[in-house]
Amino acid sequence: MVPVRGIAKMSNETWFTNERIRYIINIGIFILAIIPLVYPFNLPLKIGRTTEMYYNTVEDLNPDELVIFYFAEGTAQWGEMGPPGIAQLQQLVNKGVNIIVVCGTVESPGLFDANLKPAIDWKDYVYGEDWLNIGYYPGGESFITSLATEPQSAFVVDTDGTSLDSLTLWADYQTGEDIVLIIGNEPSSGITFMRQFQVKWNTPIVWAAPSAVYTSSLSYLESDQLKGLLNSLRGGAELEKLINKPGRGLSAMDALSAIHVWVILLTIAGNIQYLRGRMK
Amino acid sequence: MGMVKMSGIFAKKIIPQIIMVTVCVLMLAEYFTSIPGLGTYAGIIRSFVIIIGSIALGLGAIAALTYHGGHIMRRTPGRWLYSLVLILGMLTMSITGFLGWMDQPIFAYLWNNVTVPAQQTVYSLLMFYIAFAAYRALRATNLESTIFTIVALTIMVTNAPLLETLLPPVAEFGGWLFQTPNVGSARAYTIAATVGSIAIYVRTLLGRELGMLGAGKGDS
Repeated sequence: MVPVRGIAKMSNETWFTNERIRYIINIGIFILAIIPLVYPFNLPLKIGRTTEMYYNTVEDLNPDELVIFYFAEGTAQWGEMGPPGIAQLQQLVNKGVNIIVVCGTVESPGLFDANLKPAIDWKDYVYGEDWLNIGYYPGGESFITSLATEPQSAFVVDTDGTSLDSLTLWADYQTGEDIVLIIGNEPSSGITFMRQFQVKWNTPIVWAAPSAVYTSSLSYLESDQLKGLLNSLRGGAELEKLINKPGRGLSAMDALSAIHVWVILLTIAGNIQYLRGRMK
Repeated sequence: MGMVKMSGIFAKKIIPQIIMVTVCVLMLAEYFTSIPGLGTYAGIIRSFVIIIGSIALGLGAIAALTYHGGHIMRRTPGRWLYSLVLILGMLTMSITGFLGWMDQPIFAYLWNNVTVPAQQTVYSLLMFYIAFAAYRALRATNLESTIFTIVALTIMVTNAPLLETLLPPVAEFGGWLFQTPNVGSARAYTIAATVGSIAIYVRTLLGRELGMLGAGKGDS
């Protein structure tokens, strides 16, 4: 067993080994993630400024306006980005807007069909008339550019192989100019949509990003290129609260708090050990 | 010999370079100008990208089959069994997916009970490493690491609903960190990265960036 640097040295003890400390940390995380699931704390949740901006932008939409919902998550991120995705799509359905779903990764059509779509209360939405899913096309930014400039000639079938011409909603979408709002859920800041839609038609964009990307995405919010931003699972929970549809986001907030407290305590403990070692 | 070498260079370097520069100029002109007719050609090229992207997905599958098939054939110790599982999984998901996507019970079962939970489990393991890393790495050993540790703790307080409620001033400070120093630095590196990409673009246009053509050091 390898002693943790600085700890064994200062106390002449070998009990605090990497392996033992790792066990303690891991067991702590496991317990703190489980307890809130069994006994929810129901802690208060403050709505952040960026979520509020997101919510208000979508709320300003009128029924039957055309929007793009861009979903580009992989299966690994579903735990983190699934709840915001569900809340985002539910808010759009609640508003009664017409939705063109676009998938941005190989895995996202599967996630959409198996995990996202069943979680939505679709009300009286009819596929092909009120919403459609063009699925995933490779090509990255070229795909987004084609979507903005020549959707009618570039895309022929939807995600199930149905001809897009047979779907009445598709006729409403001739160029990016017809899109009133772009709603994204991707580990990015939506820069491709800014370049291909916003620069040409000043299309407003709202986005949901994982925490790791949220910090860099904030600069686009401050420059008004993003009209709203959801911060990962936390943002999803806030949106669930705002649209009054509690889901996995809100239920995960207790575990998130508990584990953050645990990591803070670990950091403090690590520093105390270090300082004790230095003083000796 | 000289002629053969020249034709090789022409095929491997000059033709791809001409295509590259032509495409670059066309896409740039289409984006920044409104010259009639350019959009049609640019649209054709974009369709090519989408089609080639689709072909690349198939090529990736063939490459994976060849690579892992080789390990199975050679019975590479400690590897061939994993390769076998990979190929079986890939074929099962491909065949059942083609047969009916989520309406195919085997595909739906494997998707919901293997693919999604397994990938999420691997992703979630990060939490354990991050917690251990926080214990080991967030140490106030000097001025820089002290600032780093304080900022990390502040952001954690800001992100956790419980702590945000219990420690409002700290959360407020965290909000300021997000809005001010974070946004400033994010802009700085975004602008730096953009200037870097413009430089690469100009080098590509001038034929000085040959990395994508397989050129190494000393090539020109």
